[in-house]
Amino acid sequence: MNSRLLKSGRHPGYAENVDMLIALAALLAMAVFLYGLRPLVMVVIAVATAVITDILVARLRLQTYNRTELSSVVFAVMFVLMLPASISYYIVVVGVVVLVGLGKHAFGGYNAYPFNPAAVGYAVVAVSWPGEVFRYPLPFSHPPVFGAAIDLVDAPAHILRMGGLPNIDSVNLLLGNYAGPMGATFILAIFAAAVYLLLRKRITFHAPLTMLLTCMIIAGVFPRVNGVSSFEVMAYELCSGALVFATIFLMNEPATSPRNPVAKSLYGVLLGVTTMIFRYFGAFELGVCFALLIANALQSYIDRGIANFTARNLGVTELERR
Amino acid sequence: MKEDKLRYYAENMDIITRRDGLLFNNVVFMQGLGLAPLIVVATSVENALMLCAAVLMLLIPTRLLAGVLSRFAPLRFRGVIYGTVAAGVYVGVSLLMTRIFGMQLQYLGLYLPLLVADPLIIGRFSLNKNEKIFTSLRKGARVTVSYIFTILFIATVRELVGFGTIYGVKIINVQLMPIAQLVCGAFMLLALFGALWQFGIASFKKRINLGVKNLDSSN
Repeated sequence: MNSRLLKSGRHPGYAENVDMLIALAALLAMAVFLYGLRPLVMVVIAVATAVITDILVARLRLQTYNRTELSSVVFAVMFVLMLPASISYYIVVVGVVVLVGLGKHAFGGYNAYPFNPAAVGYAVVAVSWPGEVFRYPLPFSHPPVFGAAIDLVDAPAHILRMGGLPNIDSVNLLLGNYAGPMGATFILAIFAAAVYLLLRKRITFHAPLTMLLTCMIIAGVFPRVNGVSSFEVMAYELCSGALVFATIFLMNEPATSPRNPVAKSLYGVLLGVTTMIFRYFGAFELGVCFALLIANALQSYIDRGIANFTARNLGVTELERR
Repeated sequence: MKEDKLRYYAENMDIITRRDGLLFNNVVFMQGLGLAPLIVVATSVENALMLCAAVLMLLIPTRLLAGVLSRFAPLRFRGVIYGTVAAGVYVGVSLLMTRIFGMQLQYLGLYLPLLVADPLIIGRFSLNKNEKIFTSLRKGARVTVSYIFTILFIATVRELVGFGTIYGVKIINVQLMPIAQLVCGAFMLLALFGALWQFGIASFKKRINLGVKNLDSSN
């Protein structure tokens, strides 16, 4: 599907994937700054696993492996950045193999997957090893590259889930200076990456904006913590976990999100509501990946429904539209 | 492969496929029968053994009795007859199973009685013809053996990669893939094995066909 090469011999998705990697590299640099060299080793292992899985699957499907088809690498990096910096390498390898093999190639490879592969990998890993995935090292604690990290704590999202209020300075909250997923906590860096991707026209603003607004409204109207200002609760709900990261990087994946702008906005609202439901009632504190899988299943219906609706109202018949 | 063997397989492939429930036409990987208990409760060898016992006691008697009884009624009632007979046999089987396994039977929960409604047990009614007694015995035994083999295989793999044990005995120290113990992981494993199985069968058939073609062209 859509695997014709461009004149230069490059895959058509090459430029976009390189832009995504540049944006993710900024987050990786922040992760290295906060947690030492271990995040870098994790990313290298993940990328190597993704490439090897790609080559093996290409042989299995009797196709030639195209080294400019970087989508597996992008998904692998996204997946790793949502994990704690202390997680064992074995889990990274299993997650990436599942992500590339099951999430991407089992459905037909590039641009044919119905569910975001990074979310598939994260969901499988989170369900399999919840004890390791939801315990995070503190920033600047530099977990050792070999051997187990010593001090692991719960994320603020976990404290919110238990009905408490985390005590984090708002500057630290924006800079990601608290225990959490290693690449998903620096809101400012993510915002900068989003601006870069918006300027390069790799993502659109509709879905992230509506999703964040929906989450804000739900967090403000139905706060999980009583007795504090709703602004504070909103800030904690939005900035803890991987919510902002997922809205920018995972949600805008072109194959798994609607094309029509109105449909995109509706998709954002749907994802926001599902995420908050998962956060409030789900078994795990980080619900956005599970919510994304559900929203991905519905996105093509939303897209088609909106297209049919506008066509009917403009008086265009089904035949003309085709 | 030798010439006479090649010829034998090429000529009898249809019959072999129809008669074989274990390899060429595996009840689970090729036909997709009896999936509900396999996926939900066959998480350990112990559970699988209980399921095997249930299938062993349930399948042949049901098929035999229903085959005999449906001769005395109009053909259109055979669905009712198969269902009722399966439910009736299950009453006896459940009493016997409680006697043998005791409280452990609780692990199987709803999925033991659900076997009654599975095409594995009562699927024969969909054919528009009564079954001879000897045929139902033979085919019932064949399906039972293949299903027992498959369920034990899957349960062993799930226990090994999920807990690192086989029948409670520690084999490896790490949990390779804990998700295999859950329903979603079971579906993944089943899909993987199904794909491998079908790939193996397809390549075997391809080899036979190519071999026969080569023989014909060389003659």
